[in-house]
Amino acid sequence: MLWIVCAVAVVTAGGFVLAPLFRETAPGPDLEGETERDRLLERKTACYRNLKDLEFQFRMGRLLEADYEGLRAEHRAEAARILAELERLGAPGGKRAAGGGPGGKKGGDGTRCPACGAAAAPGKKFCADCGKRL
Amino acid sequence: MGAGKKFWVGGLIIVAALGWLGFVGFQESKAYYITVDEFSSLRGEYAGKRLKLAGDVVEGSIDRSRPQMEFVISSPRSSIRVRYTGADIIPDTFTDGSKALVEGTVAPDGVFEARRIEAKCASKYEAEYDERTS
Amino acid sequence: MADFGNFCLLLALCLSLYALIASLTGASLNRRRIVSSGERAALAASAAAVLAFGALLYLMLADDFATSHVANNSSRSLPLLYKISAIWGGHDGSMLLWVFFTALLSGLVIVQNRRRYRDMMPWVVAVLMVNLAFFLALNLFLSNPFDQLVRISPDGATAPFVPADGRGLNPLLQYWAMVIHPPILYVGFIGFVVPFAFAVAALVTRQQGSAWVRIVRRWTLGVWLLLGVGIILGGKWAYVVLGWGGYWGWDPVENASLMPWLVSTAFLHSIVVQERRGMLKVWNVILVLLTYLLGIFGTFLTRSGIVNSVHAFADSNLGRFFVYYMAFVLAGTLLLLADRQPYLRSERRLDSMLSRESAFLFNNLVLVAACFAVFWGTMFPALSEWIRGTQISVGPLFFDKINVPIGLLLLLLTGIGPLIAWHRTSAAALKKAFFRPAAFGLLALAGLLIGGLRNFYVTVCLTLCAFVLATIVQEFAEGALVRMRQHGERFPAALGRLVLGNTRRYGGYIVHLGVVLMFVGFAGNAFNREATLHLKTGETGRVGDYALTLADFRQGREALYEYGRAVIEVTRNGRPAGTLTPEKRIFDSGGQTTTTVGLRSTPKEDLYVVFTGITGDAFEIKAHVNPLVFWLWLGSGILVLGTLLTLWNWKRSNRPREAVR
Ligand code: HEM
Repeated sequence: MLWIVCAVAVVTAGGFVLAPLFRETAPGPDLEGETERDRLLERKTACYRNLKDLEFQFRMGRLLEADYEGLRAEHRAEAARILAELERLGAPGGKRAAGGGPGGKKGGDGTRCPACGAAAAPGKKFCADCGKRL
Repeated sequence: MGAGKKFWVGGLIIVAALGWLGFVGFQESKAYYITVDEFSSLRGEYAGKRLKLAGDVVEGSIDRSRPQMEFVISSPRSSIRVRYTGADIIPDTFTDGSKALVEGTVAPDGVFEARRIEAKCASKYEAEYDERTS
Repeated sequence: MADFGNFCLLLALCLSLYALIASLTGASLNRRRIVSSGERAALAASAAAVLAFGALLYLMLADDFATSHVANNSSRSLPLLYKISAIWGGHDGSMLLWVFFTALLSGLVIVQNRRRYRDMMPWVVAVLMVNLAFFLALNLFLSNPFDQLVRISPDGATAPFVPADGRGLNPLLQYWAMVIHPPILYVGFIGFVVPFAFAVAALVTRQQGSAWVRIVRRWTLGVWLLLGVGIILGGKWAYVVLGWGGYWGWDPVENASLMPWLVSTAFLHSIVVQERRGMLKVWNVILVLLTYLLGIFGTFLTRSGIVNSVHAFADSNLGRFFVYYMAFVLAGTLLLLADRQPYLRSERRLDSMLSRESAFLFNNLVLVAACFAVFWGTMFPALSEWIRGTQISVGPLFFDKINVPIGLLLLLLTGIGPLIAWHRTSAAALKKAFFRPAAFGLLALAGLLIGGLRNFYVTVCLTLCAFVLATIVQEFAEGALVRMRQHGERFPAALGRLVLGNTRRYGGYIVHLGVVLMFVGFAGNAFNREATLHLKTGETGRVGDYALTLADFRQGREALYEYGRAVIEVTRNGRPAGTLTPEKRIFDSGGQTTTTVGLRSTPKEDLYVVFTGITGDAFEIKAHVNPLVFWLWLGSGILVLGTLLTLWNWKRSNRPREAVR
């Protein structure tokens, strides 16, 4: 009895594990890492978040006018730099800009994310810009 | 001086202060951890020092009738009388035959004055079945 | 069933090794098929390990005393709940519990991220599988809970042996907190493998962004919470069951759980700096590595308690493998770190001492120093034996002496940190932010001094508590005020939206509030009073404001033990304050005695009464008055709620990217 149970377990596990090796199409999403564009987008988000936070801190009276102005200028300059970089990559810098680019994104078949409006590559399940399910 | 350097200086001051406190605390609370046998063979060397003696509580030696409880702990070759002068509650695990750790110093009358007692469950309880091998 | 358990363990081990190799190969060759197969193998390995745990559970419930772990830790008459908890009542079973949780966590990570972090996941799986395979191998070969009892005849022949009944569970462990304490603590220890795996994967794949930081933070917070809860439950157990009058004794086992908690608290804060400012990247890897290693160390220590001697540790078979494994992980990660240095360069420098960044740096310094002090004190006996041949141990005094100032410094920083802005702050702005909290702190100080408080540390501690409390209140109130002005909301709505709009930050501040209350509880320690009373029936003794009258003494039997119960009428300043019934129990199996304390807890103080024995014809009662302990438990409750808040309602921008780009 024990032997039968064990044999069944081994066969099931083996089948489950080895199945992907013999599939025609490779299963699951590909193994791409972060692209330059992803990184920039992320820095953009972080920068905007910091900017928002800065403003809130100022409103709370944690910063003096002069400090605030200076820091805000720094943040804005950084945001501008990031946007320029994104522009250079030909990728959407702001939310409304369209098109994929050499950054590896194939987009541009007209699909758009319903949440943020960014272009989405065909066949993708999630928006590359905001992460919403398409 | 850059902020980075300032941080290191401030950090060093804090660490040095803590180190000093640690050293003082160490000097005040260190105790030599030895067995009753080791203590008996080197009595002179440990005179006046704080000790942590390890041994077994001799069956039937616990005397709770005095204002301060007394008992005898032993290791294979020698034994010593212990008087408990501490305020903490004696642990439940302290019974006839249990392994005890007593911390304190030797009093002029030769009795060991313990201020703390730790006890491991009587070995009876911990012992595995003798028959066990696999 | 025992054979089936062993089979499952072996199957899980094979699958995890396959998953390790497949993940590494797949990732290096960039073959999706192989990676996918590896992930499935990891899931299957987890499932097999869970089955193995199920097998032991079955043996426990079926009273299969042929299995040595069951015979040694359970018995027929044990209630169902304790039969389950008897699984982790002994060493071998605990090991299987670790495997069980490691498997569950690994499976969860893989399922959770099946569409995310695709480039990192093979490496994450590889690290998880190394970890799982290590524990599985220990379980199979060194500490197997499925071992069967055998009887050896004088001629050397062996035969199976089935005792009529088991030895039963150590009565000290028969308490509700002790049922859930070990599992929670173990998850708190082992769970750090997940942040560690992600950190390693990020290093290997040279992640430069901070996307991976988010998932690490979330996991760290969750595991950190469980570890904290585990520590608190341990304290509660010590207080209520061990009956020595305190909740913390700087015992090696307690220290072993505190160390990873301290380092992970540091990590929780420093990871924010990396996320927001791109700094401290190397430091964060080191912190997460340390947390993981200390977790592994803690897992082992809590079970074995071996620490007094290096020899005991390194010579115990298991200890040796733990040392090897930890050395391997340490060396591997440091090499990887050294190789990846160029990718980890800081994006910015520290702008100013007066900045959030620098407050966080000091927070880290202090927490790591505390961990180091605890480590040093815990390991000193082992280290001194190793170096000088004599064991020198240090007592609680050492820990108090160094950790009390560290704690106060931490408390101060907890007040300062949130008030300072990122980047840099001018002195004038600081003055404005600090004016009210500092004034409130000074007011409290004056009140304490007028009230007759003279103890230096306690005065400082309570003053700081008041100060930090005021900073937290101010932070909430001013934030709400901004919203009221901006959006025209009323105060309650503004406060609610403020908190829900940034649960992460305000949850963090609620955690800080919990910490403040816990410090109030710690401060009470300095005023603990105790008295040993020898009472005959009808006599009265006093401790503090209380008069204790021994009304009755009862003896009797319950199913598993005999008890002696003192019935004590309490009056406080002449007014009746209830009846306490401390108990002493003697268990039938093993003759172990346990204490049940009589406890009357109020926000001001606990009256804590223990019946310790009979001296001559009087009953000996130890009575403690422990001020402010109530606040410790309340504070820890708030700490838990605050952490849940930070974990809850993750805003989109904080949520890990659902990225298939
Ligand atoms: C034992 C003491 C402390 C504990 C248990 C603790 C715990 C926490 C926790 C759990 C969070 C939420 C973290 C997150 O959501 O990622 C948090 C946030 C925070 N902590 Fe602490 N902390 C302690 C001490 C400190 C100290 C000394 C500082 C001073 C620098 C500090 C500054 C902060 C700040 C500024 C935040 C908000 C971070 C944000 O804006 O997201 N904490 N703390």
